[in-house]
Amino acid sequence: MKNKLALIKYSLLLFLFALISCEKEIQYKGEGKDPVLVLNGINENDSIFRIYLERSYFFLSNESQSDKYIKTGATVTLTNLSSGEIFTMTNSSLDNKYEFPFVTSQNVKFKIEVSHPDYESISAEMTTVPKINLNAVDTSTFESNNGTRKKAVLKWNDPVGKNFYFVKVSVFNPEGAYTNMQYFSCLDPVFEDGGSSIVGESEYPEIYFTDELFDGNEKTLEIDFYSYKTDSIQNAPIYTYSLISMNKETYQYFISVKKASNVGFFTEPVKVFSNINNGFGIFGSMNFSNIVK
Amino acid sequence: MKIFLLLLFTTINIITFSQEKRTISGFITNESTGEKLIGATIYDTVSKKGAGTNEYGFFSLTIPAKDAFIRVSYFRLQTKYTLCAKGRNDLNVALEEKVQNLKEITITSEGSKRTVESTNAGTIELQLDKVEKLPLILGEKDVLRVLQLLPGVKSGGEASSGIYVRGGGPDQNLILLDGVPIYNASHLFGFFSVFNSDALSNVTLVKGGFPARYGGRASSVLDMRMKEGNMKNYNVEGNVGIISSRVLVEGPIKKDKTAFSFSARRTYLDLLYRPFLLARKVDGGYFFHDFNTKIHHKINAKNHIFFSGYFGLDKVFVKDKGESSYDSEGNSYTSEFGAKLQWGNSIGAIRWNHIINPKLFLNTTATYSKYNFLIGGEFNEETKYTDGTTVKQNQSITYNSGIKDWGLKTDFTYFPNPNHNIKFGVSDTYHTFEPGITYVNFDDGNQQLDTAVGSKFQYSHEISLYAEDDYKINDRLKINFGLHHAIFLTGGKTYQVLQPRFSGNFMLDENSSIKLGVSRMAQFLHLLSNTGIGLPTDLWVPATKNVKPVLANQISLGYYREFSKQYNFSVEGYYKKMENLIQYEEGADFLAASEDWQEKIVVGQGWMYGGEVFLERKKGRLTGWIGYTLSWSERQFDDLNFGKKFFYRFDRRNDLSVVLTYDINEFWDLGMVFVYGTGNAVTLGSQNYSIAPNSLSNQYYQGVTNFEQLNGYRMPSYHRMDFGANYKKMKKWGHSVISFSVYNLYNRQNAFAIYQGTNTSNNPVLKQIALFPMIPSISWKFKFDFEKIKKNKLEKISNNTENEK
Repeated sequence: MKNKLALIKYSLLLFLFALISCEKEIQYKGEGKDPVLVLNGINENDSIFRIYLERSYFFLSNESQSDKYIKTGATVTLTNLSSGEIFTMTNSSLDNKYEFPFVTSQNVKFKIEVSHPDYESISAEMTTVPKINLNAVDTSTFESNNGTRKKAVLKWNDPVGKNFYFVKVSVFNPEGAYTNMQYFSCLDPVFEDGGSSIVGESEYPEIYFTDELFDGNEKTLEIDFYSYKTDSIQNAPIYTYSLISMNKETYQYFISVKKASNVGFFTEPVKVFSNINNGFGIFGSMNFSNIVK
Repeated sequence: MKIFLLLLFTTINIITFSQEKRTISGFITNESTGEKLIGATIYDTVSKKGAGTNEYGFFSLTIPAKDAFIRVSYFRLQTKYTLCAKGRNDLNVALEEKVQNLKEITITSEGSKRTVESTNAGTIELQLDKVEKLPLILGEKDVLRVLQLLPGVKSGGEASSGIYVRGGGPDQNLILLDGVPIYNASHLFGFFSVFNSDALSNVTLVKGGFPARYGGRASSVLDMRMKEGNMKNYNVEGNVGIISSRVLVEGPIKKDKTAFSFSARRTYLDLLYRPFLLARKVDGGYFFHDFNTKIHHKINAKNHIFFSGYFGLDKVFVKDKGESSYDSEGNSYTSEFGAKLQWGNSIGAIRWNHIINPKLFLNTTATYSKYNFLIGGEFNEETKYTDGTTVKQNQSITYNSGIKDWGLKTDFTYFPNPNHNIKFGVSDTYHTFEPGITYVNFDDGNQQLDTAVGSKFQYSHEISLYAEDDYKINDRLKINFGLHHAIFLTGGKTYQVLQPRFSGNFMLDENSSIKLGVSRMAQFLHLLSNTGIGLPTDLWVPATKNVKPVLANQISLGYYREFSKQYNFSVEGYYKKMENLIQYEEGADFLAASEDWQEKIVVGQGWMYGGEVFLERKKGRLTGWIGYTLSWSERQFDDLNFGKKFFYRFDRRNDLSVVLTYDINEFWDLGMVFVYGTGNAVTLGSQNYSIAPNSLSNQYYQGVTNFEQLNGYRMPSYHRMDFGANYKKMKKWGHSVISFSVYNLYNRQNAFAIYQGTNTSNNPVLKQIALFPMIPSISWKFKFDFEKIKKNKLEKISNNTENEK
């Protein structure tokens, strides 16, 4: 419904402006900014520790993606501040991917520094998040005005201290052998705006929230969504319930990216969060806990 | 309240009391129309004492109890001398129109003299004659566009409504029409203002040194008065232009007792191009109309009552009826789409003027003001199956926002002696805010949905008390000082703001003066704007428990000089600091209807400072002015731009206006306007980079754009020249003026917006949208002179009779 309102808005404004406006190309007359290093690395617990390195580019440039990759020439130094171990890499593993020879584990503090002769050096620090696992997901179905819906109650124990969460549900349809994001509704007061909530369309592909209201306690989160009807048990959809916990910087980063991706003429500009000193990107951590039902 | 009483009694006590005095009072009017004159000068040539009429045309002058020889003057009208014999206390004077000739142009010396001598710094009284000679825009003359040509007052650029005064926003101007606030002053997205200048009699803009009687806005006050209606004769005048026409009818309902004035205006662009759209099977259009009306009834010499009203509407609409389509089974499917966007103001006022005694004047006004914005659409689908069944699905969605006010105010003017003019009063305005509600309706035969979602209605009272004194200390020093106390009750929270006001004029010599203005203004209403350009989509919201009122402290200092009796020169500097400004947070969109607006905003502060230079030639064939402003306007919000200061979108370093009019002969006059302004500050990217690969979400964009700072890029500078010529001719039936004008003479493509687009090779480039190219226009203005028609008719009959004889 929100999209329809936007459609009305833009069709009316375009109609009006089309009557009187004209468009032309103009020269950019701002100060040119030198490109900076971009480091992206959101490391998941129990996965290979990796980062992606590239450079930023002038926003009106038409360079290809691979031109911006930093494959060689950079010195990437990763320090495990908890153990004092230091890893140094000068070449990427593949394209702009730098993989370190260990698996990410929880509650470890890292510092990363990147130097390159052509760009200003960058650095960042982060601590990997603790593992927070779903205890259970209880599901049931119920009848509503709009048909049969599935209810899922997610349960987990929130550790003491500030924690940041995303919840999402994906659905695998065996019949067509494809996976989709499952839109769902949630009336729990914990989450911030997860998208449109116009009545009748209050369903989101994901929700994100902090533990401000349940810090250190067991949390039960109830969600519900349209339940697919199938002809046979073999074709019944398979749902994956994911609880993703992340550090504060990663949380801020995802929210700002989400806002930035929805920018239009009537939207306030969004500056994407970055914790990289002298550069752009994110050096963060998250933990996935999935239950498949 | 104690402070008010103290101020009042202190003021009264310092007034010298004399037993050998008398007070004369009354109204000064225009002889030909009976219209009261605001700001007319009454001067006793014997005692050398003078006074001016107030905003209701009333004056009071205390002079020695002897015979007095009174001079009454008003710009554009013939100065009149009258003997006011000893013992007489009422004096009503009607001034006649000046007989114009080429050597005497409409702007008179009295008007300019007052600029040097008037107490209030930063106050402009617009002489509506000036509007007449300037180039018209599509046949329309517009007071707001003329005000934008004065220093310290800016337009926002193409399609930007309203005025931006000394770095303030479009919401920070208190725009009053007959004392009633107007919330959106634009038609056609700012191309025209809502004010039909034919219906106006007086326009005053205050941008600094605010008198205490004004309150409620942080940057300026634009006080406009509608014509009261001609008490003497009927008058019909109008204008026929390319895209719009207007008409004004006024006259006595009962001569010298009751008069009316009615004016209307409508664009007909939609009617002209609609056939072309229909040929393409699309229906749509845009129009605006407005109506002004006023009735003035003179109950007796001491009581007058006025009814005034305004109603205006802008509407854009599109309708598209799709053709029926058939599927393979022969079922037919038809859909319809309709959308509309409309906004408008409605206001009404009942005013009662009462002379309590020759020294005390009372004005009581009851007001109503409503602004409403609506955007909505309907989607209707119909499927006819081969078995004869039909399934219909109707959906509609409407987004509504607005504000509604009911108000009551009482103002007193007390004239204890010629050195004091004391004003005091009280008012209460009841606001109802509707800050964005979406109505959704769905019906497919099986399911129905009819609901509303969005911010809740909010209600508040805005109460104000004020007292001020215009005090002439001696022949060289005049001051205006006072207090405005505002109380705002909203959602269980009460705000009280005491606002001291001061302005002073020190005459350096007969022709030059220095003016100082110091003021504190509070604004309890905020305008939430996504674009900042004053689109009708902007939301009016109140100060709340969480969102404090805007506070503005301003100081200004100016030097004014008149020389050679035909030039006015002034230079004025100002510094203004504002607190509690609000703005949408990053990523917020006014259409995110689910959220309370308070959750989408950030609060910050602003600084505005600069200097204004004004040079005017007011006499001779060639008249006009040059206005230049050098200014800065900055904002700071903790949660925007990493807490760093950034330029306001309408920060304009340089702003220049050149306005010239030239009278060739009694038939022709020419007008030219040139404006130049530094480009608006906008947010533009500098560097792009990729988003972090992650397994959380796959719907995010692959890249984002980083901008160095908010509003860190300047749009191309804005400049434009308009040219116009008027051909005037007296006809047997009245006056006729044919106006030729060209808007944007050299077809400058001024940027309305800039954005990142792609060129024909699909490479990213910077693009601009320009809205208005060169627009030539022609219009015809007419004014019937019924006296002349009657006279001609009588002459004709007389001639025929003589011929028959």
